[in-house]
Amino acid sequence: MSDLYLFQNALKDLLRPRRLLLALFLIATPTLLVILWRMTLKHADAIPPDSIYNEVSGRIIFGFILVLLSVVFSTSVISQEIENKTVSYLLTRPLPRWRFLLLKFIAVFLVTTAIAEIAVIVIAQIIYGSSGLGQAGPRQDMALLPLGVLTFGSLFLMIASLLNRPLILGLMYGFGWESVMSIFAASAPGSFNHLFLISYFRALAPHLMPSDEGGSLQLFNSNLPPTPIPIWLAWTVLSSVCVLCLGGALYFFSTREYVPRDDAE
Amino acid sequence: MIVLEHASRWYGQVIGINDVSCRIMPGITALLGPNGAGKSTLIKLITGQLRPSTGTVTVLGEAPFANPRVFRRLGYCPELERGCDDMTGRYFVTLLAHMGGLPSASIPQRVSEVIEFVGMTENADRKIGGYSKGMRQRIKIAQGVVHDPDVLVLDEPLNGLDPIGRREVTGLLTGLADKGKCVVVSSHILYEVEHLTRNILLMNHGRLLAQGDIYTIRSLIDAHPHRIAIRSKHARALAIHLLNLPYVLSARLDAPDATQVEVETRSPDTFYSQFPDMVLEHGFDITSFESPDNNLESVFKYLVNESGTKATQ
Repeated sequence: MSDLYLFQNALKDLLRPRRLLLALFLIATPTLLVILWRMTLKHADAIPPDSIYNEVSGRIIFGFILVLLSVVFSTSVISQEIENKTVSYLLTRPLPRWRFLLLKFIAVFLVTTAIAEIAVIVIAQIIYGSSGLGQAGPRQDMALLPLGVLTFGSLFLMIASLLNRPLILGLMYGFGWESVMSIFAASAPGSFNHLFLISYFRALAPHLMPSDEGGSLQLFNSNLPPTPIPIWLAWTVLSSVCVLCLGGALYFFSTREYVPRDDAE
Repeated sequence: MIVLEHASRWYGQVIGINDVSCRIMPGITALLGPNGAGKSTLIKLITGQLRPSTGTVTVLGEAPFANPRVFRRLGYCPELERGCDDMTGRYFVTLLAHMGGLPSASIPQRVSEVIEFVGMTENADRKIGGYSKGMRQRIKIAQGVVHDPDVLVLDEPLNGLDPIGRREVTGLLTGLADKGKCVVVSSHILYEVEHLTRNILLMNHGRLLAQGDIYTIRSLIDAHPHRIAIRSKHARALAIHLLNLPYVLSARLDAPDATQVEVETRSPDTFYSQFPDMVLEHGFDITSFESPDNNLESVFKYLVNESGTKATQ
């Protein structure tokens, strides 16, 4: 019963107006981009909706919204408590630390997934019209997003449990490595693409693969193609990351000290 | 109830506390020291937020760090923070009661009891953001005692309170001590805790400087010349009159405009009681009156110098 109360409190905290503004921004940004793109594109009607959706899905939903939401919400589970100095209340209560963290993470998972799913629904409606949700791409994305939130969320939660500035590091990793570098890696020869989590999502949902990888990567103009990631490997890696990172975060949060340096005399 | 044995804690190269040994028993104990003395570090060690780098800290017979058994019997009120401003007082106490491991069914009644105990019944359903400092302290005490702990630790609970708020909080803490609880209160202002307890721990630069009865320590402090700075248009005439008083050791004028006279006395209480009469009698125009010695910083300086002098002798 107490767990339920704490979970509800965490959910309520995530649904505060300030947080919802971020969610609204993240849903509105790609929507506006899609609308502007279609308005400014010559012969827009000649481009198949699937191509437009795949681009938006790969670059904006998985490459931007998923990463940004996961970074902001997951790292805040710990860092917000430290910044507000409310962490002292949590660390001096008989509730095991890991349980508190898990309850908050479940709330973050649900809220983040819901926002990302709403973004998919809105974008699918704009691109495909009323039949948007019946299309393969949006359906696949909606099924895959919870796994994406869990994977990136667990990773960023572990970063937050270990480091002092998780938001900055998370953003650097999320956008620098997973979003930007992964576009280069998509066509890089050999197994370089195995180093990016997004590559495993692309293995599960091939429509997420950027369409211009050849154009953007003359750097790797090689006869050697990228080593494809088999589906079984994608599942194994993504589920391992979830388990190890979430387990790591719970372990570190249970055993480490979380007192702000400036708070200590 | 609380035992520290040669406990030290470093933050990298910085010393938090250094080789502190003490025992804290039921009743109110004041942890006194200027800012940076190590009070917060000591409190975080006692409340299990930090581990000692060396030595041991035990609370109710166990090491407190991340120890739910200790936390069931320990209440903690941190310094003021702004993280809970969106909650109502009742919601805040209820949330922490759930985290305190109380049976869910008993929580609403228990929350109402402690809110009544701290005198916040009328304001419990208002948001904490709109509370005065005194109200915040009281609601924090409510969350600290909601699970009926044996040990209650409060970090600067009197800081920033007006005299009425201070009296209210002092009354609450005295009530808890009367019930046999161990209450530890930190403060950097000596007079704040004088009305609260006689039992003090004095800290400075991470070390435990003195421990025991406040009056013993106070008499030690009073033994050194007490300085009082007085600003007046008639500073010279005032200095001459002051030098005639038997309990005044010296009166020094500041150069070059001589609007301030600094007096040294070994009997500050006598001076404070007789000075107003002298001012009225001679019609001195006093613009300010303060004692640089009335803060703990100077007391510690004195104690440190005193112990240093004794050591060299």
